[in-house]
Amino acid sequence: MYSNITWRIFDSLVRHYSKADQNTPKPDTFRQFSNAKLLQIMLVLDGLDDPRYRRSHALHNDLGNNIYGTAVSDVNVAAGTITQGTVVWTVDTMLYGIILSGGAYTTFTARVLAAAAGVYTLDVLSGALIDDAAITQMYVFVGDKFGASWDTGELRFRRVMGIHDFVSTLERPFFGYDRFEMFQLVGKDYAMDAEVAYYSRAGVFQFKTGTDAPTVNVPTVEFDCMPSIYTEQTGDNRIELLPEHLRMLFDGVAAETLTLLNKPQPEDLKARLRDDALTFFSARASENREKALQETMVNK
Amino acid sequence: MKFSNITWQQYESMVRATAGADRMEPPSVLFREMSNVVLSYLFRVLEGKHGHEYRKTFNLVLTTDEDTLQFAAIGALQLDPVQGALFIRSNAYVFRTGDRLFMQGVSTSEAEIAGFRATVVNGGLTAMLSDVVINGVNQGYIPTLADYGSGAALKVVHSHALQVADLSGLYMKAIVGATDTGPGETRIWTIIKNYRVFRQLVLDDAYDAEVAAYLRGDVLEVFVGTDADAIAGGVLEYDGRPEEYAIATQDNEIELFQEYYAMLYDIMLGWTLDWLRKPKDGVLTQRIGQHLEMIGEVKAIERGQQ
Repeated sequence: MYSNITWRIFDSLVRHYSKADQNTPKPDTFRQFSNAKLLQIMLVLDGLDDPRYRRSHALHNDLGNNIYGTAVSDVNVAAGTITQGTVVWTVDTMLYGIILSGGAYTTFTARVLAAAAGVYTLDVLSGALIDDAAITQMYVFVGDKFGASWDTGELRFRRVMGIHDFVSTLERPFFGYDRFEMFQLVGKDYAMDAEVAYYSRAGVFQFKTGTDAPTVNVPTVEFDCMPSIYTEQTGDNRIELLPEHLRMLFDGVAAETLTLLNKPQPEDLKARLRDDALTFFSARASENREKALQETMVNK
Repeated sequence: MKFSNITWQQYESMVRATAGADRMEPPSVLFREMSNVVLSYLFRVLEGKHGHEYRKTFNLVLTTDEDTLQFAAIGALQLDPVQGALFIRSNAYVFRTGDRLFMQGVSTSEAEIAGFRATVVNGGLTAMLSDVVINGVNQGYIPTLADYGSGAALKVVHSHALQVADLSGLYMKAIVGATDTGPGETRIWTIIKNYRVFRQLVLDDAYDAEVAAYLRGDVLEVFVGTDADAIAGGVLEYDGRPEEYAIATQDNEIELFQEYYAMLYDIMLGWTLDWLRKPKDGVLTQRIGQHLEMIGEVKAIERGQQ
């Protein structure tokens, strides 16, 4: 859990401390001060290994399909099957569904295990199916088959930790390549015939699936994310910084605000800022030393 | 008694009385949050002296890695790019970056099932969305929140992991360990820190009868080997951070050692007097100066150790 403090409360606290009104500094300028300081603190003090910033995201299209009660000929809860002739679901696709039964509804997440003559056997991961006699309507989002490349859109990655999928119920990590040349040569490496490789280029993942590798199914990318920044919309969000680092954010932004207002900084604030600067310096020196040590070990 | 015997409510009354402040100024919420800033700051600087005192336990509840929000929990929804940034807002639920959202329900205006899916690109109570696809009977129609009836549901898919425990309510610093009593006696779980190692456990015969866990954000993912007994009564032990001051915790004792309590009190008294634009007396200024000096010394030692 991050701090309990929202951006808006933080804004009020700093402005009052600096004896600033709501217009000077302008809200947008204040937000930029805050975001710059937030990212600096996170960069220097949190390192790359804090699990708090780890997130995951499923890499597949979700294409909508409507199936109505009349088109579903059977839902067998005990067997975990749906029989319908409206659309074709291929094996390994994901279904996110809702079934309406009169005024009530049930939702489910399922993976298609087998498809034969319109009978689809599902691995219901969560939620529940409902007996066909009670269905008024059914509607599903269908996870499309996986492609050879994937654009992660607006997701703000700091570092990709890895990508994995499931082969039956077994997790399978993909091989990540940092170097373009190595990735392009994967197809010539027999050792990779049964593996899946990926390469990341500016928010786009490229994949190569070995000739003997099982089909790729709903890969999940795991990544270190950037903290949520302060915008007009996110004013009520908690600041995504560890609570013990909030004081640094407070002091850093207060100092910028006082400077903008041409006001002197109190002595205790100056002392803390000096101290924070030393902490930054020390943390970076420590990080650099660790990196150097790691590189030395790799080179050996 | 591990910590101070003083509750947050008592502490606030004492600070306000000494500063000659009423209940309105400084506003309660700002007083609470500034107290939390100072509390966390003191904890960061002074922790380690009594680390084990912050060890806590938590009973794990394992589920799939997704949530379902009912209509009433959604405060606002904006899916029309013409109106500006796309977002969804909840009053209590915190969306996580990377979540996949699937809204399913009956559109009251369209009188049909209508839905959308989206990706959360910036988490929080307000989640910024991208990658929005709308589906329903009327493909060209962009639904608003008002279109959905009270039976509508929002599915929030974090990942496809099947056994996870939500730790988002914990002020946790690090995991100490996890156990359960599934085999009829205490079983210690293996905590895995490396992503690749955790994902490959299924291939490792040595883990067929074991349980392992991996922390991702506020989510603890759990691996159960094919021959392992089912999990029962899972308990997490962790190094915590001090509980923050909120309305719900006002009668709880402050999780700070008694010997550091004066620091919190003095610094917040100084802050309150500043807020009221009142001068600090010489003794208080001197004490705050001494506290800062001590904090500076501790931090210098810490930097030296780094």
